[in-house]
Amino acid sequence: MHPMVDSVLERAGDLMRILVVDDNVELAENVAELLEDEGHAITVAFSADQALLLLKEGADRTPCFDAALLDVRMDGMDGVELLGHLRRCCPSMTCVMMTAFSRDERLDTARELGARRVLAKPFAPDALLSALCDAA
Amino acid sequence: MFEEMARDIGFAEEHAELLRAAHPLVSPFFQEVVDRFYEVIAQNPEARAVFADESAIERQKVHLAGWLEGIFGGVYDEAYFERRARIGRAHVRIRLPQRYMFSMMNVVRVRLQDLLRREAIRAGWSMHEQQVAIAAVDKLLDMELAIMLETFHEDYMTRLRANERLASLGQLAASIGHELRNPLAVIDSSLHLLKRRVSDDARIAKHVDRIGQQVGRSNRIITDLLELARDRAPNRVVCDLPAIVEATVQDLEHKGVELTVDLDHVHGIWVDLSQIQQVVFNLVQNAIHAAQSKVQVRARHDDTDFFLEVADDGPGLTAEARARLFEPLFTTKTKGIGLGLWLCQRIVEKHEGTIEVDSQEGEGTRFVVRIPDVVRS
Repeated sequence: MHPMVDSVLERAGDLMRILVVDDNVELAENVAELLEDEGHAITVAFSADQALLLLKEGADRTPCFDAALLDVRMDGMDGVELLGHLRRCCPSMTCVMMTAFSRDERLDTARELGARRVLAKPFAPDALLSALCDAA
Repeated sequence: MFEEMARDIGFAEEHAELLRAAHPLVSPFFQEVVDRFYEVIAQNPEARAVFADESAIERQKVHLAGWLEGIFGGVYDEAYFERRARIGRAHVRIRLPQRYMFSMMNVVRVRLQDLLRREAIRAGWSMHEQQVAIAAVDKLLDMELAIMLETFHEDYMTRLRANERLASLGQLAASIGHELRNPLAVIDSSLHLLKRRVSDDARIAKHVDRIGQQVGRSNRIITDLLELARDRAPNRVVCDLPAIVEATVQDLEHKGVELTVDLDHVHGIWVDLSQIQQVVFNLVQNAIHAAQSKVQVRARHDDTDFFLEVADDGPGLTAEARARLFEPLFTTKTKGIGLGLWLCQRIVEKHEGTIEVDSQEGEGTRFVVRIPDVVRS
C-alpha cells in the first residue's frame, strides 16, 4: 500500500511532501522510492483522477503538497489538465512535469500553467532531485 | 562513365595535352574569371539569394578558383569524374536551380576562352594549337556540365526516395521510440535504487554498471530514431571543438583499438552542441567498429573552415557502400539500423558544412567533416 495523503510528515528542513502521478506503475513506485530515500514524504497516484480523489479526501485534514511530479501523457485526464486543477486548489505547490516526449506541444501549455521544470525520461536521480529543488 | 563521355564528345589526348600546356599561361588570371563570375551572380537577385552572405561567396570564390585549376590539371580520368561529381552534389545541397548551371557555365566558358586565346597568342601558339585548345575547353566544359547534371539528378532522386521512405517510417519510429523511453526510465531508476543498496561485491557492481551503460546506449538509439521525425534547426552557441571531441571520445569503449586524438588548438566554433556531439559520437563509434587496430581523430581549422577527420584502418568500403552510405536505413554493420551517418550528414548540412568519405576496399575509411567558420569570417 502506498502512503496516502494523511500520512503526512512534518516538514523538516528541505524535506517535502510530494505527490507523484504517473500511470506507469513501476516508474511511479521507483520515483517514490528514490525520493523517500532522500527523506521526502511521498504520495503516489496512478492516474489524474486518483490524484484528484486523494486531494479531495485529504482536503479537510491536510494542507496541500509542497510539490507534485506529474507525467504528461496519461490515459484519461492527462498531466497538463491535472496541473490546471492542482494550480487552482493548491496555488503554492511547485509542479514538475515528466515526459518521454521531449517535444510535446502540451509542454508549452504546462509551462503557461506554471510548471517550473520538465524532466525527460529516462532521468537520473540527480536530475530528479535538482528539478524539485530548483523548482521549489 | 567518364571514358564513355569523353569518347562520345570527342575529347582526346591531344585536347588533354594542350590544356596541360595552357595551365601556366592562364592560371595567373583565374581570379579575373572568378570575379567576373560573381559579378554576374551579384546582378541576379535570385541567383544571389542562393548564398547566405558575403562570407559564403568568398568561400565559393576559393572553390571556383580550385575548380578552374582542375580544368587545366591535365589528368582526366575516373578520379577526375568522381571529384567533379562531388561538386554536382554540392549544387544540390545549396538548391541551385539547374538553369543556373547552364547560364553560369556559359559565363565561365566565354571568359576562359577569351583568356586562353589572349594568352596563347601572347605565348606565340600556332593558329591550330589555339583552335584545338579552345575546342578542348568547349568539350571539357560540356562534360563538366553533363557530370554536374547527372550527379544532380542522382542525388536529387536519392533524396526524394529517402524522404518518401522516411515520412512513413518517421511517424512509426517516433511512437516506438517514445514508448520505449518509459520502460527504460523504469530500468534506469530501478538500477539507481539497486546501486544504493549493493555491497562491495565487484561482480555485482560490474553488472550494475553494464546495465546502466546499455540503458544509455538504448536511449541514444531512441534519440536517433526521434530525429527521424523532426527537422530541428541548429540551436547555435559558441563551443570548444576539441573539448567536445575529448568528452565524447571518453565515453566510447574501444577495446583492442588504439584511439589517437590529435586536436589543434582552435578558437570557438558556432554550432549546436548536442548535434555536433552526435556527429562526433557516431563517426568515432563507427570507426571503432570498423577498425582493425587503429582509429585517428583530428580536429583542425584553416582560414575559412573547421575540419573534423575520423579515420580507421578497417576493411574500407565497396563502391556500392560508398554510394549509399548516407542513405537512411543503409548499413554495412550486422548490428545497426543505418541512421548514424544519415543523421550526421543532415546535421552537418544544417550547419552549411559538408561530410565526405574517402575509402577504398582494403585501405580503411576516412570521414572529413567541414563546417564553415561563420563566427570569424
